[in-house]
Amino acid sequence: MKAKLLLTAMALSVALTACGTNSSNNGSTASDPAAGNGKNNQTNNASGNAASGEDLAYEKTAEPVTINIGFKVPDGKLTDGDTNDNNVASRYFESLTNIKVAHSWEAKGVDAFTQKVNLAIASNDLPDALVVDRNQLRKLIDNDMIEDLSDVYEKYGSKLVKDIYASTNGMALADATSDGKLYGLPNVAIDADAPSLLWIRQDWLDKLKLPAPKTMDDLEKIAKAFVEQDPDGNGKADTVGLEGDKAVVYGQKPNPNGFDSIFSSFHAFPKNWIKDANGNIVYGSTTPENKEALAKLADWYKRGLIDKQFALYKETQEPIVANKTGLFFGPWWMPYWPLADSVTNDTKAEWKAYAAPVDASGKFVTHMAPVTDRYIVVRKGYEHPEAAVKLLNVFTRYERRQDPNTEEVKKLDDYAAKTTVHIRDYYPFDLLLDYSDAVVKRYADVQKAIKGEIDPKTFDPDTKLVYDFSVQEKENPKKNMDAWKPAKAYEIGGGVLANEQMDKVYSVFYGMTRTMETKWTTLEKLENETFLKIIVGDQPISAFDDFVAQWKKLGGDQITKEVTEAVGDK
Amino acid sequence: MRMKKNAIHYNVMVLPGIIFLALFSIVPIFYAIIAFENFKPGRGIRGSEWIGLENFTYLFQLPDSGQIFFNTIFLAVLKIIANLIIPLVFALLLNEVRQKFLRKSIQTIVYLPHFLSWVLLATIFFDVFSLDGIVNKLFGVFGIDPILFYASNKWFPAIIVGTDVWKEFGFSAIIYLAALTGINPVLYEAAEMDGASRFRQLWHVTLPGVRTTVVLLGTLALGNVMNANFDQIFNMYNPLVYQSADIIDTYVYRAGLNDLQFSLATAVGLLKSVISFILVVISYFMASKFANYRIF
Repeated sequence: MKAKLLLTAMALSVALTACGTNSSNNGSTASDPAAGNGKNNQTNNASGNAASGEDLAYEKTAEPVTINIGFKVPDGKLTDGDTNDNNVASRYFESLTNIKVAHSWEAKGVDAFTQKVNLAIASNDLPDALVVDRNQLRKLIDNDMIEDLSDVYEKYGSKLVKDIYASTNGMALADATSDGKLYGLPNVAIDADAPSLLWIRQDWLDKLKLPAPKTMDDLEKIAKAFVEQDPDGNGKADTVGLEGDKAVVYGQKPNPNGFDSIFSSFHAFPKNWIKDANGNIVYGSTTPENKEALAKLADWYKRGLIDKQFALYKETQEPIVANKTGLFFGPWWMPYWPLADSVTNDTKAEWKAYAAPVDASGKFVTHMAPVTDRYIVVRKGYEHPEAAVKLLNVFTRYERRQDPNTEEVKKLDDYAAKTTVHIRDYYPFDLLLDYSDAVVKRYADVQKAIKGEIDPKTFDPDTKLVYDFSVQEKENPKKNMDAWKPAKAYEIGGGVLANEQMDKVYSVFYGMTRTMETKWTTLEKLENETFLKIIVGDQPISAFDDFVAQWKKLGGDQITKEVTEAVGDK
Repeated sequence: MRMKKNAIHYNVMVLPGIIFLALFSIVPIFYAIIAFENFKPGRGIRGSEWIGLENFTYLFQLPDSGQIFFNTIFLAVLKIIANLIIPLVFALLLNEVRQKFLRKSIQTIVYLPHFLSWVLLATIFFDVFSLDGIVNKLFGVFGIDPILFYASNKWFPAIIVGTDVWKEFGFSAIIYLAALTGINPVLYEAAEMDGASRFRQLWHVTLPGVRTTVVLLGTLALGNVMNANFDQIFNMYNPLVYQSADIIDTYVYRAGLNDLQFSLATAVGLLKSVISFILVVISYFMASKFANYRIF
């Protein structure tokens, strides 16, 4: 054991020095020593030495390899003739790996990307590798369309990647594993993305002289005032109360307008598998607490405190961007989107976030998100599945600021600072591995630096960027929206996460069982439509009991049994 | 059937159409076989497991399927009737306008919406029928409480039919106007000599003159009974009105593309095609019987 560790450490240092030499060499000859290095390693391995993960993880492929992917187009704009598949980031990663990333197709926006992936699955025309969500992964495994990556990951995965996966106690990899085979390389999500905070137009709140919300009653009063007392002062009754989304709750990772926190304040956790008072595993959408939350929402909807048209918007952010509402739920990163658009349309807008409403005992309760929700998969039959792993290795190493090629990294950082292009937007895969407390830590660091307690020069470039933007935003408020976005997201959203006590409820199960594969779509549809109809008054509250009975009958009982067994196994 | 020599170039002209049809309408028919399989794209059509009629039995067990078949036929029938009567009435009225410039201008204006896409119109109608939209403002004047049209299963079918008619009536009226110009003016002169009023002329000369056109369009529309217009409904509906607006096509889209239940979606689509086929055959025979319309 000890020997192996020592060997790994030695190999690591060798690899690092090798890379270091490369970057100091710079220029056209740089690739040759690296290739030589790779060959050396191979001969070493062949001659019987134990294979070292780090060498294999970062060595260049001997022959140039092309990997075709589906790409999610970011919002930023590239200059200097750079394109989505040929830019500073892609050129750098190609120089490290000798892997050329080509785009089979590109899609802008999450919905468009999901649709494209669905289409690719439907027509059995997958790119060599791409990022899929949980449902798509399940379908791909089910359809036998993707490679088993177990061996490739074992052999080529870098120590950093393996460490981050290990930090989830094996949950991340287990999530992408089926019948003992690893079918995808999962992301590791940050904790901060899960809680759904209450976002309020503070300027409206101040104008109507209302106190900051804490309880359900406070929220009700504010919603009533926002509807009736013309908070935007234009003399027209054109503002609505609390905004919502036709999905009602997101259940796992929230987006704008989910009612998740209302349900949580009643200790209801729809779409999560939880343990009830007796320790039995139950599906969160079927517990009696949901009924109370639904009754409350239905009452609010009837009284006009919730936007009457919330279920009709094609895009859930529409009323927020149009400044029709000053009250909605969403995670910490709302300033990036859609709030930046709201402020652009009405520069008077001052948004604030609160950990509200609290439950009966005064605590803010939130469900947590699964540790993974996206996966890199490789098409069945692709000759170089290791290319996907290697790309993950290099961009994760860069993202986590552990890239030893300091000069190259500095160039990228300078480029990013100069152009405000996010390098991470141009990673071949939109899949970040991060330790779970990233946002809160960055918030604390930036705040300390602003107070002068620590020197911002010691920051990693990402934190430094947030700090610079925060300073810029303080000096010239709302002048540069690209500065406003990160500054406010961390200051307001990150601030709430860092400073408020939260009761975090974890789901006990995120995977899929056998019966789920055939019946889940129908059950989810039943659930969504019942919840929505109860809220808007199409069905009475008692419809919830019918829903629970029907849910159980249509396969829910069987699935609950399977989930209980699956959890028991762990 | 013999072809005249100089008619060959007409057949060449039809060729692109036939290729298009073969590629997009005939070839896909063979893929309908996945309705009888537990289709897995990775294994392909040959590799997937054959399950016979299981998808169809499941389809009839689903609580939604009755609703979607009913909605499809209900909406389509309403549309066929409305799209037959309203353009006719409009054409008759327009025909009575004696000022040529006014007649031409009206005709031009009302057929313009035909060229707008439902993607665009859906957004416009959403504003028109929203809570603070023009329709509810108008209702407010008469003291009627605002109605959430887009969320009401009672109103939504009316909106679907109404907006569809609004979009198409000007265009459909062209055919009637053409038929009207085909009526021999001598008939009107004779009727006038006999002392017929404007209304009498309409009743005894104009209507009989366009009768065959009406019957023909009506019977041809029968073949479309299973098409309630995907474009329109997909762009206008939302989960609250699935109950009254979800048609076969939108259901197939959601089940097939969003939920990835390929076999089920194909089964639904196939069932629709079979019913449509029967209806087309019926309408063809009716067209040949009532309007003497034949292709073969």
